[in-house]
Amino acid sequence: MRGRSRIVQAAAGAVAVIVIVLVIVLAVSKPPSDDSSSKLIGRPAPELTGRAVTVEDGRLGGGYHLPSKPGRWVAVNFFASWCVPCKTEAPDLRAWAQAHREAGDGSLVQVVFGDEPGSAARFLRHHGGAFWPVVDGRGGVALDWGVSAPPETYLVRPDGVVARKWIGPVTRGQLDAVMSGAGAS
Amino acid sequence: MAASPRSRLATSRPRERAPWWLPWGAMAVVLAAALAIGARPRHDPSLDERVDGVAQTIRCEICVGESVATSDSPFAQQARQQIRRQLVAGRSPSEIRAYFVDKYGNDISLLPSGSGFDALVWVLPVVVIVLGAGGLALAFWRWRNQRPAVPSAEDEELVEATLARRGEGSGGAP
Repeated sequence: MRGRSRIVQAAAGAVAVIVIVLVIVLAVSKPPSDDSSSKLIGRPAPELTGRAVTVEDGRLGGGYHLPSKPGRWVAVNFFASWCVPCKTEAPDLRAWAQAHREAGDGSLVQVVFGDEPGSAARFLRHHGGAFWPVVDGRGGVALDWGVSAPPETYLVRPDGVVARKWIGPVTRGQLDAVMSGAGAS
Repeated sequence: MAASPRSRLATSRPRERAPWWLPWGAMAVVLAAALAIGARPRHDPSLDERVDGVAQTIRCEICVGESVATSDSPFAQQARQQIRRQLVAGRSPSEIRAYFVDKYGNDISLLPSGSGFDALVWVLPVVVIVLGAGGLALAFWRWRNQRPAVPSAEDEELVEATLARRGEGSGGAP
């Protein structure tokens, strides 16, 4: 009887040790990554090819291809007409794109995510004024960029490396802060 | 001439026992056959079934507790299209999962990885099965080798005294 109770005590002790170790491991393990992180940051931007959307009538125009070394900052914004936060960020994106187009150091590419070109063009007529609205020409562009839901914006450095990602509405100030932090105007 | 232990055993039992390994061998054969039959696909899966099979192992990033196989979100739709494209291009399910992990991180895979903390999911069942089988084997061994209880001199005295008292009691009854 005494031997059996010793075995029960040892088993209970072993279970307690395992539970304590699991709790400690879970407590000190790395928390889930925050919204701004992405596996792409610090890596060359994925291929981005598509067909330009004519904002005036929503028709598909010529092809678009993001150069591997664009030579200027490029904000790649994934958006949809059904996305409410996309309306929030649209004025800031437009202001940022206009300012940096004039300065010649940045441009904006807006990629239609899960939406029809006609609806996206209508959205841009009302809320945006984008310079490069494009639709995915080959399929899988959004997944190549690690996009889950619009709006998501990536800022690509002139050397073609992804500098930062934002999930949710982005502001002109946020984009400029990253550019100035990296030594750009 | 003294009989060998084996011959004594043979004479003490009415019929010969089956070899000890026979039931274990039979169990192993049944287990292997069941695994082989269970693991064999019933037919060659169609492309849709293969897409669904991979999609069930990819977590829907914007859903709660759903894979991209069951969600109708734009992300899930694009993920299914991407899985289909990659399968058509000849990529294996593990290569496709590696693509999603590369873009979205380990959390997107619904299959636990074989390293780090997730490896416990694979290791713990094996450890539990091995420990359980070892415990059972130990218990069987102890039961088999348990000697019959031999009464001590004190026990025998106690029994004799009790029997004697009973005898006296029954003798004195009317």
